[in-house]
Amino acid sequence: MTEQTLFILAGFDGGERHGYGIARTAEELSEGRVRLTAGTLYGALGRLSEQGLIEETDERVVEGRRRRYYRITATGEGALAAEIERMRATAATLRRRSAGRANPEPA
Amino acid sequence: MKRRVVEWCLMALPRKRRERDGAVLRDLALDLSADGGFAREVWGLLRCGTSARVSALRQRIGASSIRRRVAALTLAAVAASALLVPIATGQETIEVERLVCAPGACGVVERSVGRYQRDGWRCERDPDPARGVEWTCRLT
Repeated sequence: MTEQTLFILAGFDGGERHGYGIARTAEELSEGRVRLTAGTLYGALGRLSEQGLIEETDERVVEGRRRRYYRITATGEGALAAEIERMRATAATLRRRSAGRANPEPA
Repeated sequence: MKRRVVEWCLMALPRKRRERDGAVLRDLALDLSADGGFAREVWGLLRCGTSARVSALRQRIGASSIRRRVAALTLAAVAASALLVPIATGQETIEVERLVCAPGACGVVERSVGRYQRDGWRCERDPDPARGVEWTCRLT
């Protein structure tokens, strides 16, 4: 899973979101590392929909802007949880390895 | 003005995709560029459009003959490097695209030319190209 996909999925937080909300949340959660343009975001949302990780719920005009809403599916929640667990395990392994280098066992 | 530029950029998208997503993409691009980064949005839309055209083309020719595939690959390469001519050149041309195919295997290209024409582009066939058959389509 790419960092972009990870932050898009993480931004749903159980509810439905529109493109602008998704882009802003991804930017906030990634502390500015993931900045999505409209073109990039819609490419990613299309791929995630095809994979069944998110689904389109509605399209409406809000304050003169046409907005399409999406929500994360159960498959998407599962994929996100699995990715977070994988990252946690990777971080734990690397931390142990790093601590081992800092305090080597006597030969 | 920003709205018109974004609408021009959306012309890079295939017609079906533009009809389905155009208004949502336009409004999102305008929202995201409200605090700056308009040029970034413009390039994002152009990249998205070019890549959508190339993948639509790939799907269409998936089951075609080798000859058609070669012709379409040539077209894809040309489409991917679509030449964008800004109005700053002093002419009224907004965008130029060149489509090339091998003689006798131009069905895919001719259908694309037809779609461009339906979308309001002016397309001319080069009468004596050095390599294969070449069409030049201009959006004015």
